[in-house]
Amino acid sequence: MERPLVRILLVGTLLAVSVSFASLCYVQGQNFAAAARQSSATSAAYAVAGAVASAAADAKVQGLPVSSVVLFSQPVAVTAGGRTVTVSPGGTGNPVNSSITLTAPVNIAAVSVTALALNVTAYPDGTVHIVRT
Amino acid sequence: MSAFTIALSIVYFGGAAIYASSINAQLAPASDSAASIVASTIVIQNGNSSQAWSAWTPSSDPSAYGLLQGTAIYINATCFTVSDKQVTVMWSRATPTSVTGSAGRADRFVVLDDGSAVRLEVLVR
Repeated sequence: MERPLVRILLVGTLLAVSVSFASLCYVQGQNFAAAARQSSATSAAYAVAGAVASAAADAKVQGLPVSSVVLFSQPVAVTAGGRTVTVSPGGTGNPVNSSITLTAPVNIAAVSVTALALNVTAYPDGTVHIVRT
Repeated sequence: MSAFTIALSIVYFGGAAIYASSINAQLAPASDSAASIVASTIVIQNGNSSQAWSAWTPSSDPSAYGLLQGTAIYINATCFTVSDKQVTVMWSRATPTSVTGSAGRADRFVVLDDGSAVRLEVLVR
């Protein structure tokens, strides 16, 4: 009489632990996926802002227009203007985005583009153009 | 029962470690870009003017470069001249605290209007 009861209790406990573990994994998985999407957006935004700043610095020192190309592993939607760059990986439909505002005196010509590769051209006066390649 | 719990723990923490590692790998290039933003901002502000560089003081405040609070920044700049194969260091400035661990890095070399040159090293984590 006692053995079946113990067995039932044991199996029930294991099932309860398994269900708890599965739900915990699901929640953590959602959190990790959100963190991965945000880090992807942050990384892409830094890549674009870094390219803008670097090209602008080279253009100012050299006194000549300087171009560079930024490549992405997936299409990204880039909206930029003034000193601010906003990037959404995966295209315009992705609600996750990351924005960086440069403090350097640059003037990015207003642009909204979705692309796998961007051409960043900076001029000695601080003007920066971002176009799809 | 204990073995079952231990197995679940190993799966759970192993998975968490793999996720954390992949996110860190994803953000590593961002550190290099952040360092590039800092170095480029300094170069844009000072240009190739020897006067601007002489008056410049390095700042490790992230907000000065549009970076998030809590970002650690180390800046080391050296101005030097080369004459008759002799290198003369005119000045050298650095932020007080160095950055340890895996950090993004950017280096710039700027020739100034008086013939001297500045080597700028930036680490960001």
